[in-house]
Order: sequence, then C-alpha cells, then structure tokens
Amino acid sequence: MPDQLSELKHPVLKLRNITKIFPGVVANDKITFDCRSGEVHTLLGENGAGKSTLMNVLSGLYPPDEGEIFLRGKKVHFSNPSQAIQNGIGMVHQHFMLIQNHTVTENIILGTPQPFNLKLSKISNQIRELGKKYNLLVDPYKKIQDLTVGEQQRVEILKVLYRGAKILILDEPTAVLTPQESEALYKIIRKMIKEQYSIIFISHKMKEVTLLSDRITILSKGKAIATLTRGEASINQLASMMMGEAGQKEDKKNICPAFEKLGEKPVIKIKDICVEDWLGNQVLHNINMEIYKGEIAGLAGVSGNGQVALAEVLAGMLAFTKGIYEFDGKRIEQADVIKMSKLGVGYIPEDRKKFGIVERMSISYNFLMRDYTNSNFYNKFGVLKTKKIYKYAKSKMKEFDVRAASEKTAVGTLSGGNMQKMILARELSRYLRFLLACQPIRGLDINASGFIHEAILKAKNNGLAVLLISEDLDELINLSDRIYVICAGKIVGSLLKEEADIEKIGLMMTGVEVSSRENPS
Amino acid sequence: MIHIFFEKRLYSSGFIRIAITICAIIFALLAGGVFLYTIGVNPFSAYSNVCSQIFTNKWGIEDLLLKMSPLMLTGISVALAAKMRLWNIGADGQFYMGACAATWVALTFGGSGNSLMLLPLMFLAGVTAGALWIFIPAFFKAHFNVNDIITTLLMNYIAISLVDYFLFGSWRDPNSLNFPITALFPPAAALPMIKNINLHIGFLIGIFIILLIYFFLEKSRFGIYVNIVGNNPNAAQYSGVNKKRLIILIMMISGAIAGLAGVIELTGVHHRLQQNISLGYGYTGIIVTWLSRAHPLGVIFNAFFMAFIFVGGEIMQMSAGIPVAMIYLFQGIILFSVLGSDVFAEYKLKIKKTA
Repeated sequence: MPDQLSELKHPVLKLRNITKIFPGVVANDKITFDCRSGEVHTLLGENGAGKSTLMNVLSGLYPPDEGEIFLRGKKVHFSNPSQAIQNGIGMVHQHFMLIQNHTVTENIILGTPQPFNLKLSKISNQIRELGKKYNLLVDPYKKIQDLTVGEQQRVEILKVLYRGAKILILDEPTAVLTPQESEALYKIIRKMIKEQYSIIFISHKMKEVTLLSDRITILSKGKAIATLTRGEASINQLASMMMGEAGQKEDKKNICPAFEKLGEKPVIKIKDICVEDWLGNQVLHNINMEIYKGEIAGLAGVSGNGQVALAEVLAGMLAFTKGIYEFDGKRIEQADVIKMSKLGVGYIPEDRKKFGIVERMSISYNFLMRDYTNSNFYNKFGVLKTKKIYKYAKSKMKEFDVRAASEKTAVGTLSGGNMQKMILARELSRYLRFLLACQPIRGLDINASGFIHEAILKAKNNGLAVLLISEDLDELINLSDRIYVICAGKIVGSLLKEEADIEKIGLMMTGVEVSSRENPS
Repeated sequence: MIHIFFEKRLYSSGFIRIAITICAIIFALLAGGVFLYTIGVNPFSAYSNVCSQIFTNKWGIEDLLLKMSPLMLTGISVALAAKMRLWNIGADGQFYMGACAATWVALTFGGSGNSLMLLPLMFLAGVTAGALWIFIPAFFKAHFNVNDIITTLLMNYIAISLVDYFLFGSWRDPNSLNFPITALFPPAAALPMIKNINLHIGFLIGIFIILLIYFFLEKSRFGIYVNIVGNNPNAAQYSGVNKKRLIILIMMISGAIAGLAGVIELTGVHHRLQQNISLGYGYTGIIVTWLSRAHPLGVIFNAFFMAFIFVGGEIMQMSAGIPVAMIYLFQGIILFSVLGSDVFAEYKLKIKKTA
C-alpha cells in the first residue's frame, strides 16, 4: 500500500465545512473530509451520526446548507446523483438497486447513453474485461435473480465502474456477505486501490475497518471528531471514541419478569417441518430443532436461506406443509399469530419497520399490537382505556430506555434503536415462554445493540427459550449456547458454543457440512 | 444561477396540511374565476352574490344544510374505507341501491296500516342493500386483491341501470304521464323534520354517524385494527389481525352508510324514486374525503364546503344563467388543486442563489 506516496498527493476530493440541517436536527455540522486517490478512507460512526447524510450530500441527493465540495481542486455543485456520477463519484448502496429479471449487462447499462442499436454482446465483453481486471467475476448474461448476494454486489460495483467512477462510496458493503465473500471483497478493494481508485468505506465492523482503512474519520452527532491514520488507534479506542461518553453507562435493571421453572422438556420442538411457498417451491426442508428454557439457540445463515420462513412458522404467521410443531409439549395443529402470542411467543421481526410497528401510530398504540384482549387496555365493549394505555407506555418507555418526545409520538419518527427497544418492550412485557429474535441489532448503534443483547441474555437467565436469528456471526457466537446453520432451507448442522468458530460456521453457511456433533433429535 | 428545488419535509404537521388545503381551495376559486370571466361573468360579484344569497336568507342556509346531509354520509362512507387504504368509488351506486330497496319497502308495505314500522323498515332495507352492493367488490378485494377502484366504480353503472329498469317498468306510476317516476310515498314514509326549520332529521343522523365513526376509529379495538391494516398491512399479518375479514367488514359498513344516504335523500327530499336522485353525491363524497384527508371531523366541514359549491352553483345558474356544468368544473378544479397541493405538504419549495 503506497502510504507515503498518497500522503504526498493532493486529495482528489475535498469536502469543506459541510453543514446539513433538517428540522430539529443538525445532521452534519461543519464536516471536513477528504479522500486521496489510492486510499481507503473509512467513515465510522453510530447510526444517526451523519454518515449517510454526508454521503447523500456528496452523491448529489441533497444540496448542503453550507460548505463546499472540491473535486481535483475545482469547486463543484451536484444537484442530482447523475451529476455526481458524471464527475466520477459513484455510490454502492447497502440495499442493491438492481432489476431482478434483467441480465447483469442490462442492469449495468441502464441509464447510460447508448446508441439506438444496442450491441449487447460487445458491451457484455467490455463488462467481462472490466470484471477480470478487478476480480469482479460475474457472468454478464446471467439474470440478477440467479446471482448470489455477493455477486449482486459485484454488479453494483461494476455499475459505477462502468460509468467511469474513480471515487467509490461503499455503504456497509459486508453487511450482507458471508465471511468468505467479505474476504473476496477486501481483495477487490485492495486491487482497486492499486489502480489509484479512491474508496470511501462505511462500516460498523471494527475488525474490517482497521484491516482495510488507510485513514479513518470518526463521526459522532453530526461532527467529525477525529481522523486517524492506519495503526493510530486500536479497536477498543475506536469504539470508545465512536460512542462518546454515553457508551460507558449501561442500564442493568431487571428487564424481564421471572418465570417459574418447568421440567426439562423443550419449549420448542419441531420435527421434519417443511414449508412451500405459494409457487410450490420448497422453502424449508425437514427442519428439526429443539430449544430448551434458559437456552439461546442461534441460527446462522446468509439471508434468504429460509430463516424468515422458519421464524414465521414458529410465530404462527406461516402454515407448514409437513411436520410436527410442539410448544411446551403440546402439539400445535393450526398455528395462528394470536394463539402463539397467547401461548407465550414474543417475536422481534427481522424487518422492524415493515412488520414490527405501524409508523403512523403513536408509541402507546403500538404497544397494543399482538394482543387485543388485554383487559388492562380494553373494557368489555372493546373501548380503549386510553389513560391506562398512555400510563403503561410511559412506564415501559422508561424501563426500556425508549427515548422519544412523549408516549404519543408517532413511532415512525423514532430512531432504529428506539424503535427496536419499543418492540422489545412490547414483546417482553407479556406472558412469555419463547423469544424469537430476528436480526435484533441489524443497523443499530453500539449502545442500542448492547442494550438489546443484555435484554436477550436476561430473558434467557429468566428461563425463556430464545431463538436468535442473525447474519452477524460475532453476535451469534457471543450469545448462543448452540448454533444451528441453515443453507437453502436445510439445517446443515449445529455446533455447541465451545466448538463454534467463524471459519467453520462461514463454511457451513455455504452448504458445506463440517464434522460436528449430531443434530439433536 | 437560481436553483429552485423541492426538499422533503421530515414531518408535515396537521397545521401545514390544513393550511395547504385552504391555499389549494383559494387557488381553485381563483382559477374558477378565470373561467367565469371568460364567459362574461365578473367572478368577484358572482362570488359575493352567492355568499350574500346563502348567508343572508333562510332559504339559502336551509338548502345548504339539505345538500350537506347526503354529502356528510357519502363523505364519511368514502373516508372510512380510505382509512384502510380502500377506495369506495361506488358510494353513488350504493346510494341508489339504498334508495331502491327502501322504495321497494314503501311500495310493498306502504298501503298497509302499520305505518309506524314503515320508515324503520325502509331504513333497514336501504342500509342492507348498500352493504350487500359493495360486498361483491369487497369479497374480491379481500380474497383476490381485485382492484377496488374499478370494481366499485363499475357497480355504479349496474345500480343506475337497475333503478332505471324498475322506473321504466313495474314501478312506474300510472298517473305520472309516462315519466319514469314512482308514485308518491305515503306520509308515514317521510322523514321527520327538525323543528322550526325546513330541514329533515337526516342532517342530524349524518352528524351522529360521523361522530360514531370517529369514536370507533379513535377509541376502540376496532379502530386499532383499522389503523394497523390501513397503515401497514405487513404489520397486520405480524400482529395477527385478520386483514381479509376486516376489509370486507369495513367496506360493507362503508356501503351501508352510502345506502343510508340514499334512504335519507329519498325519504327526506324526493318522497318518490326517480332518476338522478343523487346529483353525484357519491362522487362528491370522494372529494370531501380528499379535502378532509379522511379525517371524520374534517368530513363535516368539507361536506359543508362542497354543499356551498352546489348551492352556489344553483344560485349562479339562476341569477347569471351559468350552465350547471360549471359546478362540475369547480369540483374538478378543486379536486385537482388539492391533489396537486399534496406535493407541498410532503416537500418544501426552496429557492437558492448560487454563483
């Protein structure tokens, strides 16, 4: 890595005193940031620290309220993303913006000027050449829907390269990748650096940040606190800088009511569960699993391998086509959400905004979801006891540290962390036997993540059975007593806490069976 | 260079929305004024003439409230469905079917002595007919996600043809000189009047229904269900609300209310079934809903406003000889500008000078 060399160079891109104010929030407060050619400059910060806003300003989505952008020494002004890409700045979004039933080539050239008679084969060859150069190997004739997540990401990167970007913004690129795929991405990044590209890397993951970055700029509450060069700070130092003071204080209240001990029967027992989707494709193949009280079972897997279906079956949202589902020793013939919730299933859904809340309803009313017969909230005619509900919501918000203007605030205005705490508060505050936590900390900052993990551990200690579904292997290994690995709708195997390591799980996530203890049956 | 661009508002308060709606209405009145001007009418004197006629004599106010009664009901009918993100474009058809069923009751049982039961029976029949008429689109919407806008709309044409079929057929009054109208109903089928004013109690029923719906939406379990399904169908699935059943139920209530409007108009105003008893009340209900953004209390105010346009149109028609199409033109412009104004509720217009 030409560290000294890039030190000597002028920065290709310079942001000076960028300020962006949204009503009530200073999202970016006089941020100065630059990027040289041939370097990886990481933006590190909690959610809401202003990373996305800054990148949106840079890529032309919002105009800044104040401040200037210089590109190769010249002042520029982007009023839309296409101007930014014309000037060589390309963003690879966290959520891919690809058309599923079009080919790679079609996706890449979409929106670029092309002659009337398209020569797709010629363009495909160009794309293949471009891919070869940077290890971005992907078949240009394949449709997006047939690609793995890692390959789709390569298409996204090719898309900006094809448009001639020299400065690439990668927004949490490894969030959806397996460890092996991430490794491949690092190689691609290193190769691009050698070719004098500039990479602005956004990530939460400390390890890869320290591994990849030439420089790291830490954002907190809209301000750039520090810019460090490689090797200047350890992982722990970075973390504490990023969190500020708030990270030191952890709330250690008893979060879950105590549950009595039962015999040593599993709370959840599923046998040979199969699920088909509406097209008749088999989504789950003969899933076997047992979860005992006081146990956290982890489920590892790349997203889209059947985790959601399994969670929905357990929560009663999805009917299974074959198999046996036993809850507390009782066989469930026809599950439905209300029934399972009454039996004691708490469910933190994977996509909290899409499923877990109703954004336009108040926090208080969101506490009413999943239980519509609670006599604390309804009188016998079904009329709401509003005062009681508000009081209840207020006390729960305090208990779970949900920060909002008031209990009547619309949930949609909360930050992701507060939203998740609200969902957790709702699910943990009922009679509970089994907690189903899907990607509980995805996209959350360190403070909120810590709080949620603590709550899950406390739930376990209070005798709940927990199923933790996550793509974050560190999270799974830290919390789980046993880790199941799912791939293509099948359980590839399970590992006890002691035998689990990232390499092994990563390999199993791709479908390779690794010698391990037998599945419990 | 001057840059003009839209910036998304993070939050648009109720105040901003109301203010923007009012601006849109003012804009519509100005634009409508241009049309008046082109046909040789001074818009300012026309508007002031309308205002003085309506607000300074008893007849004007009474007529306004009379027109407002069905609009409140069709408005709340459409608004209730809109709370679930459903569009009941068929309120007009349910209105006709309500009137039609009530007419059947009046013609069949009107002659018998039991006059005390006649009016309640007519109401029951009308409400049921409205609910059943929308059941068909509702069922297909709930189970097969068939577009509710199109199905409810098409049901209107069937309803109107059905009414014509009876009017030109077995229900035609032999003494009507061949007009397609039924015989006058017996006095027992007339809606009672409010004391001292020339206004039937349908007005009060409208207010009552709106308050009832408001209460249910805001303060009951039922309202929580509607809120969840309407704002986030995925969350409904997650939280165990039976979406299909709720869609059918809400649409049927919506249809019942529109049917009720039909019975009220029939028993309070016309006292016989004839063509064009609706004056497009069902469609105007859609505008009322849009103006009030489906808020039940807003429906009262906007039903008043749309009734004002109706009566104002009548007055202009009489005093300045303006064609009736002008009313529809006004309605169109208003709807157009309110829909268009939404962009200002979501976005801020910003102007910036750059070098």
